[in-house]
Amino acid sequence: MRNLWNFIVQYQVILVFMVLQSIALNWLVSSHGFPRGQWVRFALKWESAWQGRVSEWTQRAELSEQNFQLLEENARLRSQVTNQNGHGSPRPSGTQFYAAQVIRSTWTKSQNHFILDRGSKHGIRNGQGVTNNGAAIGKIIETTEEYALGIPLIHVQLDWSARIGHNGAIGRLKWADSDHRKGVLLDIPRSANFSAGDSILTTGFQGVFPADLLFGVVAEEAPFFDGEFLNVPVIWSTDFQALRYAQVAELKDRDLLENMENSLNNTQP
Amino acid sequence: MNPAMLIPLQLILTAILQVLFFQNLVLWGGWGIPLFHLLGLLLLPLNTRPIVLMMVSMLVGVGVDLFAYGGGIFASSAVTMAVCLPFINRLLAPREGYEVTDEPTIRSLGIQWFSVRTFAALLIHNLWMFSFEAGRWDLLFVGWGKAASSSALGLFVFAITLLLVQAKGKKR
Repeated sequence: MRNLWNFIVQYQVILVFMVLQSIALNWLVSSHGFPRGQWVRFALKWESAWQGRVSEWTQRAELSEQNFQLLEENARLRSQVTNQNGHGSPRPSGTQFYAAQVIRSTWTKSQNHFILDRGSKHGIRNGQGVTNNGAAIGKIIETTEEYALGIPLIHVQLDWSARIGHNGAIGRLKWADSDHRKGVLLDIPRSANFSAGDSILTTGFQGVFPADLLFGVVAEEAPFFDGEFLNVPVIWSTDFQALRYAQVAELKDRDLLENMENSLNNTQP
Repeated sequence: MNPAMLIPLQLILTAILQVLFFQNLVLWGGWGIPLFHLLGLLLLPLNTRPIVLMMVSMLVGVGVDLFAYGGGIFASSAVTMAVCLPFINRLLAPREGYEVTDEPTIRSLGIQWFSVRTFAALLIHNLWMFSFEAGRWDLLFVGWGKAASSSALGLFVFAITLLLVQAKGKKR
């Protein structure tokens, strides 16, 4: 017993270090880079009100740019409505979009996040997809009544189901590296036909986004081989450094489809 | 002000400033990230016991983690810096050792001592933090680059802050 006490006294610094490090690293590992849970809801509630105020101040200085963005958005929506009426072009069906403002976002880390000024009382729920000017940008992972926390495409631990064009090959879309403007579409067959500038669209398979929303376009760079498959460099259609507004996509049949999937899993032999 | 009041005050103030202002400040395309709450830890008295230093660092780190969605990364990095700080202090100690009245500031121990100590401590903190934050092996070197540049920025910000805040005094 005395030896144990002597050991503790002699190595107290390193022991305390190990205990504290264990607590911190356990917290870090258990969160898997996705901050969730009670403490996130607490921080969202109290800190986001302040962040919203900061965002208000900074955006007052950028009103002209915001007006320009809104004008562009109006023009895009108007042309979309015209196309639908005139030619019946495809559009996301059964999807409701909620407008929100991005009050905080990070784009320089490996595991980035953003906060929206809309929460559960505005219809925002975990797992909903987030878009910006019609392009997919991320998904919601935590909500409070007033605010929502999301993870963007520029997060190293996320894969997204994506397709080249409306009928092209399907692959896994990941963030390429530390450049927040680029991604890479993995596992594309060598036989796939595509060229620079082709659209990379959502498949809708993950139940986060409706199908055919834009992720980005095929970059000018040559695709590179990875075994039997091609990895295709992609340029995001959204500038994550300049995120201001977002629309959150609510798939109306999502609960129904998830229930079907769950019942299928339960009935498997 | 009473020094016993000043220490917790500067810890809380620097942490609040980090949460409310500095976490929104990102320079040079992500290569310059100031971590202002570390100034409070670096200003703790030189004779602070290592265990107390680690405990306080853990508390400050947890506080910043809660409001910056760090998930424990700030706490872990702050504790790592705290365990190394007494060694850095010992390495940089004057030949006759520190005096009881010495403070870890530019005014008390000079710009050279302050710069080396602050940069070394920030580098340890940032290397730990950016290595974990990288999340992938191929981003590790970029993370280390960011650690070095952010440490240099932190040193600059801390030096300017101390020069602005602290009244003129006699340099050792």
